[in-house]
Amino acid sequence: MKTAWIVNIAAAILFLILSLLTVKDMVTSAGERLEKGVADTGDAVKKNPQIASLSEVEYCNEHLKTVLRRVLENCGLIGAGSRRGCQPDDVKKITMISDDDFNTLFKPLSKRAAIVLFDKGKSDLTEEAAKLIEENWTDQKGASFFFVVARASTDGPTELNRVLSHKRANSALFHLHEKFKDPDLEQKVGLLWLGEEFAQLPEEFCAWNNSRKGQPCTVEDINRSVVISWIDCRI
Amino acid sequence: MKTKSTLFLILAALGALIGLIFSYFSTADFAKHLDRQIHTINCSLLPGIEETGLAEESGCRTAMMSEYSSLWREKYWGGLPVSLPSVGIFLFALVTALWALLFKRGGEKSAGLALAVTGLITVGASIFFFFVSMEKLQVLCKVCAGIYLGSVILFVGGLLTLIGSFKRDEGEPEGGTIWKFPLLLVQLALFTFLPVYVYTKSLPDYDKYVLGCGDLKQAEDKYNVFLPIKGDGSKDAVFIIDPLCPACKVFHARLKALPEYSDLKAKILLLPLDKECNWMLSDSLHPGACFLSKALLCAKENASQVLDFIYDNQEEFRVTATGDINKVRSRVFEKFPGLNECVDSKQTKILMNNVLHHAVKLSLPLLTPQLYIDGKRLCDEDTDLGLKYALKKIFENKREK
Repeated sequence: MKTAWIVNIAAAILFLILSLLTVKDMVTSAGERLEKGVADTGDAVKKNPQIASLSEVEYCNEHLKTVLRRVLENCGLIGAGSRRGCQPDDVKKITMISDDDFNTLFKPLSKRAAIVLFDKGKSDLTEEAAKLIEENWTDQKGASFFFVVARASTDGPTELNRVLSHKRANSALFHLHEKFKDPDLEQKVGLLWLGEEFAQLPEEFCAWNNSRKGQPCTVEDINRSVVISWIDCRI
Repeated sequence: MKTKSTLFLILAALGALIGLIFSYFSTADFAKHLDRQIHTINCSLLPGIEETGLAEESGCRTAMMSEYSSLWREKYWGGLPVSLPSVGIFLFALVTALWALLFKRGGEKSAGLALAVTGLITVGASIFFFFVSMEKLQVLCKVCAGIYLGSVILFVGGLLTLIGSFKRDEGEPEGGTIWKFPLLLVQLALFTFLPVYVYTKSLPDYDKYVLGCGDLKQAEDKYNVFLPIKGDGSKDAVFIIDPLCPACKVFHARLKALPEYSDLKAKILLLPLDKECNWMLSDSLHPGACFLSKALLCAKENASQVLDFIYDNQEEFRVTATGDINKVRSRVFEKFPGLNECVDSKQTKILMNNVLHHAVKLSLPLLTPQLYIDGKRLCDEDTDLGLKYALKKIFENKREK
C-alpha cells in the first residue's frame, strides 16, 4: 500500500519536472530566436521594407540633376532664395551649358512634357492650353518639381520677346494658382523665361504633345511657347 | 482488480493521452510565436504527423490569435495560453490512471475521484471553448476538437472509475479511502500551476522590442491628407491602410474589439498598393485600391462608413477589382451615390497624389497596415498575439513622457 503511494508521488515528481523542463525549453528557445532575430529554421527574419520615396527615372543622370539643381537653387525653389524665376541671362550663367545641350537634357521628357503654344505677340491661354496645363499638373505622380520654361520666337525686338516669354511663364503659373490653389505651388514650380536669347527649340519639338494638335507647326510656332513638365528626379 | 475497473482506467488514460497530445501541440504552436514571428501551426487530427494545409490551418490560427486562446495578454506578451494548464491537467490524469492500472488501484476511491474531477474540469472548459468557438469565432479548430474529445473520454473513464470504486464485489479487497484524495489534489494543483509559473518566469523582456519600431515623423499636413474615422479618445492614432489589404481589415476589426480602442482618436492615411496611382510600385498588389482610396478621400468625414462598407465587401472587391474595376465602381456608387462625381475629378487625383507624397515626407515603410499611437509605431510583429501587451506599453510610454 505504502509502496504504491511512494511510487505515485515519485512518478508525479518525475513527470512534473519533465513538463516544467519542456515548458521552459519552449519559451526560452523562442526567446533566443527573438534575441538573435532568426527564424526557427535558422534564417534571419528581419527584412527592411521599402520606404516611400519620390520618383527617380532612368533619365535622371548626374548631368541633368546638376543642371536642375543649379536652376532650382538659383531660381528660388530650393534654399532661402527669395527670387521667383530665372531670366535668360541668369539661365545661361547658372546652367553653364550651351543652348543645344540645354535642350538635349530635356529631350527624355518627350512623353512627360507638354508644350503650350501661343499666338504671335500674345501671352493669354486658350481653352486647350489651359486644359493641357491642368492635365499635366494633375499627373504629378512621384515628381516634386514642375518646370515651366517659356520662350518667344525671334520675331520682334529681343527686349520685347524677353518680356513676352516672362508673361507666358506667368500665364501658366497664374492659371495653376487660380485653378488648384496649391499652398505649396511656389515650392513646386520652377519658372524660367528664355526670351529669344537662349535655347531656341528646333522644329523636332513640334512632335511633342502640344495645345494645337494637328495644326501646322514651324520653328517660330514652337518657340512661342511654354514647355511644362514634372521632373521625376530626386534632386 | 475488476476487469471493468481496468477498462475504465484504460478509457481514462486514453482520454488523458489524447488530451495531452493535442494540448501539447497547441501550447507548442503558441510558444513558437513568442519569438514574434509567423510560423506554421498544427491543425489536423494527427498533429505532428499530418501536414496542415493553409486552408485547414486558418481555423486553428483564428482560434489561436483570438483573445480567447490566452489569459492576461496585457501583462504578458501573447498572454498565457489556456492550453498550458490543460497540458498539466491531462498529464496528471495520465500519470494517475497509469499508476492505478500498474498497481491495480481501479477500486481506489481517491484515484477515481481525482480522475472524475480532472475529467469534469476539462469537459467544463471544453464546453465553454466549444461555444466560444462556434458563437464568437465561428470556426472549429481540429486541435481544439482533439482536446474536447480527450476531455469527454477522460470524463467518462474517470466517472466510471469513481462509480466502480464504490461498487466492490464480495470478497474484493478494500478499495482504499477517500482520504488520499487531497494528496492527489495537491498533485493536480502542482501539475496545473507550476508550468504556468515557469512559463511566465521564462518569458523574455519584450519592452525593448515593442517600443523599438520607430516614430512617426512630423510633417505639416497642408492638404488635409488624413481622414478622421473616430473623433473621441485621448490618444492620437494614425492607421496607414490600403482599403483592399486583408490584413488591414483583420487588424482593424481586432483593434476595434479591444477596450483600448475607445481611448484612440483615430485617423487614416491611405497607402494604396496599386500602381494605378502609386508610382512606388512596379506591380499592383491590390488592383482597385486607388479607386477605393479616392472614394474614401471623397467621403471625407463619412470615411468611416465607406471604409466599413469596403471592409465588409473586401473579399468580393478584391476578386472583382482584379478583373473588372467597373463592377466595384457600380457597387460603391450604388451605396454612396454622392461620391460619383468627386472620385474622378482632377482635385481628387491631386489629393490622392498629395496623400502619397505625405507618405514620402513621413518616410513610411511601404507596407500596410501600420498603426502609430501618439507618434509611436506599433511593430508589425505585435499586431496579433502581442497587441494588447504592446498597446499597454505604448500607452505607458506616453504617460512616462
